[in-house]
Amino acid sequence: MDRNEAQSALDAVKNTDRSMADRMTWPLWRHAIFGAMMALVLLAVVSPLAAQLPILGLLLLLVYLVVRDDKKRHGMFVSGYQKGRTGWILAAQFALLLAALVSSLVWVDDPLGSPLFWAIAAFVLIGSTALSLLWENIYQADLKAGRR
Amino acid sequence: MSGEIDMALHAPARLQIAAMLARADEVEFATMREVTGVSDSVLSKHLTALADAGYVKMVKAPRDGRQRTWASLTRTGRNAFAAHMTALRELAAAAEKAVATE
Repeated sequence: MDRNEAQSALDAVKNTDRSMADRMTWPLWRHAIFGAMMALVLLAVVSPLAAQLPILGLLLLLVYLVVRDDKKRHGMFVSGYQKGRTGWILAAQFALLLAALVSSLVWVDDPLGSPLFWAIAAFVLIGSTALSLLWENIYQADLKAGRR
Repeated sequence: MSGEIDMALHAPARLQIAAMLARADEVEFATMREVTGVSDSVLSKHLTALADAGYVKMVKAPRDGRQRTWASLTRTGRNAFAAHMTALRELAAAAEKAVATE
Protein backbone atom coordinates (compact mmCIF):
# COMPACT_ATOMS: atom_id res chain seq x y z
CA MET A 1 0.00 0.00 0.00
CA ASP A 2 1.37 3.45 -0.89
CA ARG A 3 0.77 6.88 0.60
CA ASN A 4 -2.08 7.73 -1.79
CA GLU A 5 -3.93 4.53 -1.00
CA ALA A 6 -3.47 5.10 2.72
CA GLN A 7 -4.72 8.68 2.42
CA SER A 8 -7.76 7.70 0.35
CA ALA A 9 -8.60 4.95 2.88
CA LEU A 10 -8.41 7.56 5.68
CA ASP A 11 -10.62 9.90 3.63
CA ALA A 12 -13.17 7.10 3.13
CA VAL A 13 -13.32 6.59 6.91
CA LYS A 14 -13.77 10.35 7.37
CA ASN A 15 -16.67 10.36 4.92
CA THR A 16 -18.26 7.42 6.73
CA ASP A 17 -17.93 9.29 10.02
CA ARG A 18 -19.59 12.36 8.49
CA SER A 19 -22.50 10.23 7.20
CA MET A 20 -22.87 8.83 10.70
CA ALA A 21 -22.85 12.36 12.18
CA ASP A 22 -25.63 13.46 9.82
CA ARG A 23 -27.70 10.42 10.73
CA MET A 24 -27.19 10.27 14.48
CA THR A 25 -29.42 12.94 15.99
CA TRP A 26 -31.81 12.26 18.82
CA PRO A 27 -34.96 14.28 19.63
CA LEU A 28 -35.18 16.23 22.89
CA TRP A 29 -37.74 13.83 24.35
CA ARG A 30 -35.23 10.99 23.95
CA HIS A 31 -32.74 12.89 26.13
CA ALA A 32 -35.52 13.70 28.61
CA ILE A 33 -36.44 9.99 28.83
CA PHE A 34 -32.83 9.27 29.74
CA GLY A 35 -33.01 11.97 32.44
CA ALA A 36 -36.25 10.43 33.74
CA MET A 37 -34.60 7.01 33.84
CA MET A 38 -31.78 8.36 35.99
CA ALA A 39 -34.32 10.00 38.33
CA LEU A 40 -36.16 6.66 38.51
CA VAL A 41 -32.94 4.93 39.59
CA LEU A 42 -32.71 7.43 42.45
CA LEU A 43 -36.37 6.91 43.31
CA ALA A 44 -35.97 3.11 43.29
CA VAL A 45 -33.10 3.26 45.79
CA VAL A 46 -34.95 5.41 48.36
CA SER A 47 -38.33 3.67 47.95
CA PRO A 48 -39.64 0.87 50.17
CA LEU A 49 -39.02 -2.67 48.91
CA ALA A 50 -42.62 -3.10 47.70
CA ALA A 51 -42.26 -0.09 45.38
CA GLN A 52 -38.80 -0.97 44.10
CA LEU A 53 -39.90 -3.82 41.84
CA PRO A 54 -42.52 -1.83 39.89
CA ILE A 55 -40.04 1.05 39.48
CA LEU A 56 -37.34 -1.32 38.24
CA GLY A 57 -39.90 -2.91 35.92
CA LEU A 58 -40.75 0.52 34.53
CA LEU A 59 -37.03 1.23 34.07
CA LEU A 60 -36.50 -1.99 32.12
CA LEU A 61 -39.54 -1.22 29.97
CA LEU A 62 -38.16 2.25 29.20
CA VAL A 63 -34.75 0.79 28.28
CA TYR A 64 -36.45 -1.69 25.95
CA LEU A 65 -38.60 1.03 24.30
CA VAL A 66 -35.67 3.44 23.90
CA VAL A 67 -33.43 0.79 22.29
CA ARG A 68 -36.27 -0.31 20.00
CA ASP A 69 -37.02 3.29 18.97
CA ASP A 70 -33.33 4.08 18.35
CA LYS A 71 -32.93 1.00 16.18
CA LYS A 72 -36.07 1.83 14.22
CA ARG A 73 -35.15 5.50 13.71
CA HIS A 74 -31.46 5.13 12.89
CA GLY A 75 -31.08 1.55 11.70
CA MET A 76 -28.43 1.26 14.36
CA PHE A 77 -27.98 1.47 18.09
CA VAL A 78 -25.37 3.61 19.80
CA SER A 79 -25.09 3.17 23.56
CA GLY A 80 -23.48 5.75 25.82
CA TYR A 81 -20.38 3.61 26.19
CA GLN A 82 -18.29 4.87 23.31
CA LYS A 83 -14.56 5.41 23.01
CA GLY A 84 -13.32 9.00 23.11
CA ARG A 85 -14.28 12.24 24.80
CA THR A 86 -17.84 11.10 25.59
CA GLY A 87 -16.26 9.07 28.41
CA TRP A 88 -16.03 12.31 30.41
CA ILE A 89 -19.79 12.76 30.11
CA LEU A 90 -20.33 9.25 31.43
CA ALA A 91 -18.04 10.00 34.37
CA ALA A 92 -19.98 13.22 35.08
CA GLN A 93 -23.28 11.31 34.86
CA PHE A 94 -22.00 8.72 37.31
CA ALA A 95 -20.81 11.45 39.69
CA LEU A 96 -24.18 13.26 39.49
CA LEU A 97 -26.16 10.11 40.27
CA LEU A 98 -23.79 9.06 43.05
CA ALA A 99 -23.91 12.51 44.66
CA ALA A 100 -27.72 12.48 44.48
CA LEU A 101 -27.91 8.99 45.99
CA VAL A 102 -25.52 9.80 48.82
CA SER A 103 -27.19 13.12 49.68
CA SER A 104 -30.67 11.55 49.60
CA LEU A 105 -29.69 8.63 51.81
CA VAL A 106 -27.47 10.50 54.25
CA TRP A 107 -29.03 13.94 54.63
CA VAL A 108 -32.73 13.45 53.92
CA ASP A 109 -34.97 11.77 56.49
CA ASP A 110 -38.02 10.09 54.93
CA PRO A 111 -36.96 10.99 51.36
CA LEU A 112 -40.35 10.37 49.75
CA GLY A 113 -42.01 12.91 52.07
CA SER A 114 -39.27 15.50 51.80
CA PRO A 115 -39.40 18.40 49.33
CA LEU A 116 -35.59 18.37 49.38
CA PHE A 117 -35.54 14.84 47.95
CA TRP A 118 -37.91 15.81 45.13
CA ALA A 119 -35.73 18.83 44.40
CA ILE A 120 -32.71 16.51 44.19
CA ALA A 121 -34.67 14.15 41.90
CA ALA A 122 -35.67 17.08 39.66
CA PHE A 123 -32.02 18.17 39.56
CA VAL A 124 -31.00 14.64 38.49
CA LEU A 125 -33.68 14.63 35.78
CA ILE A 126 -32.66 18.02 34.37
CA GLY A 127 -28.91 17.45 34.85
CA SER A 128 -29.00 14.01 33.19
CA THR A 129 -31.04 15.37 30.28
CA ALA A 130 -28.47 18.16 29.82
CA LEU A 131 -25.57 15.68 30.01
CA SER A 132 -27.29 13.47 27.43
CA LEU A 133 -27.62 16.47 25.08
CA LEU A 134 -23.95 17.32 25.67
CA TRP A 135 -23.03 13.67 24.95
CA GLU A 136 -24.75 13.92 21.56
CA ASN A 137 -22.95 17.18 20.72
CA ILE A 138 -19.54 15.71 21.58
CA TYR A 139 -20.27 12.44 19.74
CA GLN A 140 -21.23 14.37 16.62
CA ALA A 141 -18.30 16.78 16.89
CA ASP A 142 -15.89 13.83 17.19
CA LEU A 143 -17.44 12.17 14.14
CA LYS A 144 -17.28 15.36 12.09
CA ALA A 145 -13.66 15.99 13.11
CA GLY A 146 -12.70 12.37 12.41
CA ARG A 147 -11.46 11.89 16.01
CA ARG A 148 -11.00 8.24 16.95
CA MET B 1 0.67 2.15 19.44
CA SER B 2 2.06 0.83 16.18
CA GLY B 3 -0.24 -0.81 13.68
CA GLU B 4 -0.03 -2.94 10.60
CA ILE B 5 -2.08 -3.09 7.43
CA ASP B 6 -4.75 -5.74 7.82
CA MET B 7 -5.70 -7.33 4.50
CA ALA B 8 -9.12 -8.31 5.86
CA LEU B 9 -9.86 -4.57 6.21
CA HIS B 10 -8.05 -3.43 3.08
CA ALA B 11 -11.09 -3.27 0.75
CA PRO B 12 -12.70 0.22 0.98
CA ALA B 13 -16.19 -1.13 1.66
CA ARG B 14 -14.88 -3.35 4.47
CA LEU B 15 -13.04 -0.42 6.01
CA GLN B 16 -16.24 1.66 5.84
CA ILE B 17 -18.25 -1.15 7.46
CA ALA B 18 -15.68 -1.46 10.25
CA ALA B 19 -15.63 2.34 10.69
CA MET B 20 -19.42 2.39 11.13
CA LEU B 21 -19.45 -0.54 13.51
CA ALA B 22 -16.62 1.00 15.55
CA ARG B 23 -18.89 4.00 16.24
CA ALA B 24 -22.04 2.04 17.09
CA ASP B 25 -23.06 -1.02 19.02
CA GLU B 26 -25.16 -2.59 16.27
CA VAL B 27 -25.94 -1.56 12.69
CA GLU B 28 -28.65 -2.92 10.42
CA PHE B 29 -27.80 -4.32 6.99
CA ALA B 30 -29.90 -1.71 5.13
CA THR B 31 -28.17 1.15 6.96
CA MET B 32 -24.73 -0.22 6.09
CA ARG B 33 -25.82 -0.52 2.45
CA GLU B 34 -26.97 3.14 2.41
CA VAL B 35 -23.77 4.46 3.94
CA THR B 36 -21.32 2.32 1.95
CA GLY B 37 -23.29 2.67 -1.30
CA VAL B 38 -22.69 -0.93 -2.36
CA SER B 39 -25.24 -3.51 -3.52
CA ASP B 40 -26.82 -6.12 -1.25
CA SER B 41 -24.70 -8.92 -2.65
CA VAL B 42 -21.43 -7.00 -2.37
CA LEU B 43 -22.22 -5.94 1.19
CA SER B 44 -23.18 -9.48 2.08
CA LYS B 45 -19.89 -10.77 0.67
CA HIS B 46 -17.84 -8.24 2.66
CA LEU B 47 -19.75 -8.92 5.87
CA THR B 48 -19.22 -12.65 5.47
CA ALA B 49 -15.48 -12.08 4.94
CA LEU B 50 -15.32 -9.93 8.09
CA ALA B 51 -17.31 -12.51 10.04
CA ASP B 52 -14.98 -15.29 8.80
CA ALA B 53 -12.02 -13.24 10.03
CA GLY B 54 -13.71 -13.09 13.45
CA TYR B 55 -14.13 -9.30 13.21
CA VAL B 56 -17.91 -9.08 12.88
CA LYS B 57 -20.79 -10.86 14.57
CA MET B 58 -24.13 -11.05 12.75
CA VAL B 59 -27.56 -11.77 14.19
CA LYS B 60 -31.01 -11.89 12.62
CA ALA B 61 -33.89 -10.22 14.41
CA PRO B 62 -37.47 -9.58 13.30
CA ARG B 63 -38.70 -6.01 12.77
CA ASP B 64 -41.95 -4.91 11.15
CA GLY B 65 -42.70 -8.53 10.28
CA ARG B 66 -39.40 -9.08 8.45
CA GLN B 67 -36.11 -10.67 9.42
CA ARG B 68 -33.32 -8.08 9.50
CA THR B 69 -29.60 -8.66 9.79
CA TRP B 70 -27.72 -6.73 12.44
CA ALA B 71 -23.95 -6.60 12.65
CA SER B 72 -21.60 -5.64 15.45
CA LEU B 73 -17.82 -5.51 15.78
CA THR B 74 -16.19 -8.16 17.98
CA ARG B 75 -13.40 -7.24 20.39
CA THR B 76 -10.92 -8.75 17.91
CA GLY B 77 -12.49 -6.65 15.17
CA ARG B 78 -12.22 -3.47 17.24
CA ASN B 79 -8.55 -4.12 17.95
CA ALA B 80 -7.84 -4.99 14.31
CA PHE B 81 -9.61 -1.84 13.09
CA ALA B 82 -7.69 0.34 15.57
CA ALA B 83 -4.37 -1.22 14.49
CA HIS B 84 -5.26 -0.82 10.81
CA MET B 85 -6.16 2.86 11.31
CA THR B 86 -2.87 3.44 13.13
CA ALA B 87 -0.98 1.83 10.25
CA LEU B 88 -2.82 3.99 7.70
CA ARG B 89 -2.03 7.17 9.65
CA GLU B 90 1.62 6.17 10.06
CA LEU B 91 1.92 5.41 6.36
CA ALA B 92 0.31 8.71 5.35
CA ALA B 93 2.43 10.67 7.85
CA ALA B 94 5.70 8.95 6.84
CA ALA B 95 5.07 9.70 3.18
CA GLU B 96 4.22 13.30 4.06
CA LYS B 97 7.48 13.61 6.00
CA ALA B 98 9.49 12.09 3.14
CA VAL B 99 8.00 14.59 0.69
CA ALA B 100 8.77 17.48 3.09
CA THR B 101 12.44 16.50 3.49
CA GLU B 102 13.04 16.11 -0.26
